[in-house]
Amino acid sequence: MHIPDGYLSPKTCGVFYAVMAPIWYLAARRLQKTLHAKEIPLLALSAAFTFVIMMFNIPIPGGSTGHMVGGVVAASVLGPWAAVISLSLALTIQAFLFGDGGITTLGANCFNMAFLMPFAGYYVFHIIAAGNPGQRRKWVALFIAGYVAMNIAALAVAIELGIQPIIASSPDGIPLYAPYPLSVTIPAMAASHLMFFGLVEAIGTAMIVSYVFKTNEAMLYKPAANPLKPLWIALIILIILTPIGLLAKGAAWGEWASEKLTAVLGYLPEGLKGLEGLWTSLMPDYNIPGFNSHAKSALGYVISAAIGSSIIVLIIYLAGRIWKKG
Amino acid sequence: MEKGIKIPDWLKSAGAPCSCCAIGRGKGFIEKNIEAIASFIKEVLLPEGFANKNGLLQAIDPRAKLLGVILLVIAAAMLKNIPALAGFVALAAVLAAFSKITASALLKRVWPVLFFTFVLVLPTAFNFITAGDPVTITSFSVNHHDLYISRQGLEGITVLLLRVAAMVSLVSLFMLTTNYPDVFRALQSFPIPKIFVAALSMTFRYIMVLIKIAEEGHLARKARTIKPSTVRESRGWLANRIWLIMERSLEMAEDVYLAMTARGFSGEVKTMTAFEMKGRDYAWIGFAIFVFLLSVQL
Repeated sequence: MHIPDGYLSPKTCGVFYAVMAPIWYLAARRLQKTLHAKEIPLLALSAAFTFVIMMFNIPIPGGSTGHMVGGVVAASVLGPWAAVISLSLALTIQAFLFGDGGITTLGANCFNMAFLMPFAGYYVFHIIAAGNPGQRRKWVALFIAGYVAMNIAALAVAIELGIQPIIASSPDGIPLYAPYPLSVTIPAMAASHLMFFGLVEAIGTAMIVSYVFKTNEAMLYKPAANPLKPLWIALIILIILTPIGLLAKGAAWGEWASEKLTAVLGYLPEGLKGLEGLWTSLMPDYNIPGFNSHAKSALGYVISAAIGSSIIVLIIYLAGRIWKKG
Repeated sequence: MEKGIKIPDWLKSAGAPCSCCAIGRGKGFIEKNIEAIASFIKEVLLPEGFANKNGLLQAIDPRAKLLGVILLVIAAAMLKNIPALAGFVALAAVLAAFSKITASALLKRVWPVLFFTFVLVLPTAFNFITAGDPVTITSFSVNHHDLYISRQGLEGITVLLLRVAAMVSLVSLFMLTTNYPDVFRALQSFPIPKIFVAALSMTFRYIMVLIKIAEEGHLARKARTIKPSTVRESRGWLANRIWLIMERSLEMAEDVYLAMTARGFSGEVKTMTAFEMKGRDYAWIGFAIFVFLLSVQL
């Protein structure tokens, strides 16, 4: 579930950091409204709690055990927005201190496990447990919420890995990052998560949260308004937008050709042409005649990199001086 | 203290009737959890001690070190050809050598990811996944379908393995040469809200407290178990433990908050930044930017 460094292309990593930035911001804003100064210890402790449950082996029927992510447990206890933050904190500690999941892929890992998972689980639970559910329906709702949330996260991982050969292969077809196409990653992730990891998450979620329901329901997060309201709003917006979708040109979402995907992700296949262009415009003398031969152009690269890095260090140095005085 | 205490035979035998809550074959979840907790505590409390050695990376300010490592990691993520990526692996090895980090310590961190990746991508070497020019010696025919290792597949595997090796080694080098508190202090100087960094270092601290509660619960259960329990019982017990940890963590959050308030905390995080960039830190960042810019052009 944790994607390590090196599996995703830099563009993909950048996109997911960019997607997570507003989510983190929104989550922090929402928490500030409800928790104020209490938020720091509460977030830290709940992140620590999430980290600890990720370490547990959960026994499942048949004698085997597996690890759970705990995304839905966190969402049930803390609410989905606080779960985003505490799961992100737990994932950051795992990535930085214990090498579980990468640093460049942290944005993507947080998107899968700290955003998709708690929200999917939270809404699935509230749809099934709408109204006044009995204990059995709660248990079933939690089970399905854990199962669905885990599989949605796994599908996201499969898509992230599977698009790598499309967006980042060298001209002669050599995959540069995760090598399997979607036709392999989706069945592989689906099989392992539908059969095993989804079950672990489902059982873990149901047993932990239903236990809390029985013993101390006050510990669980209570949505202020109808928790399904945002879903209704999203549904209405979608219904309104559907006719527009029919009129719109272009391929359907997710059915892009590789050129379209390139355009959507801003990916530049051959080297980083944009940066090279920027470079040339910054240093017009870069292409001086006589620098065309291979060795000389290599020397040109080295010189321009040296000049560029010296300028940046100079700027950092000056900024450091000014900052120190200020 | 009469001699009338009778210890049943089964309790005296070395092979206890319960291989610790094993349900079915193999180790039970209690034993597995105790092992996981123990190895975690060992890893945190007994770092290999490389962070305090007198080496190259240890001498660099943690802020500068983190910035440089992140630049190098991004550079390694962008590279597209085998020689350049091999160069990065060599760079990591040289940095490790100058930082007095043993190969075994570095491999201990890099090997699991690398091995997992290798097994995962091995099938892509064959032409049924990655079509391409055959590497002739391996060609053979099954039912008139040629099965061979393709050059493109082999290159793809090499690129991915070298990239993972380079990136994971660089991040591991940072972690091995930096003390835990310094990691958090380094993060403070990055454009991340201070609240998150403060919460992050508190998270790390309280993981140890909560894991201790978990460990005690598991050990107590292990000590009291004399016969295998059913899956249902085990799950009930584990749910109870996790609930306890959850409740303790929420209580503790309240206590910590009150303690912080008593000490004058008003919601604003103040941090001590005692780091000062020196010449060598600038040299390191300069080197990292140099490599980064070079990789952008390759």
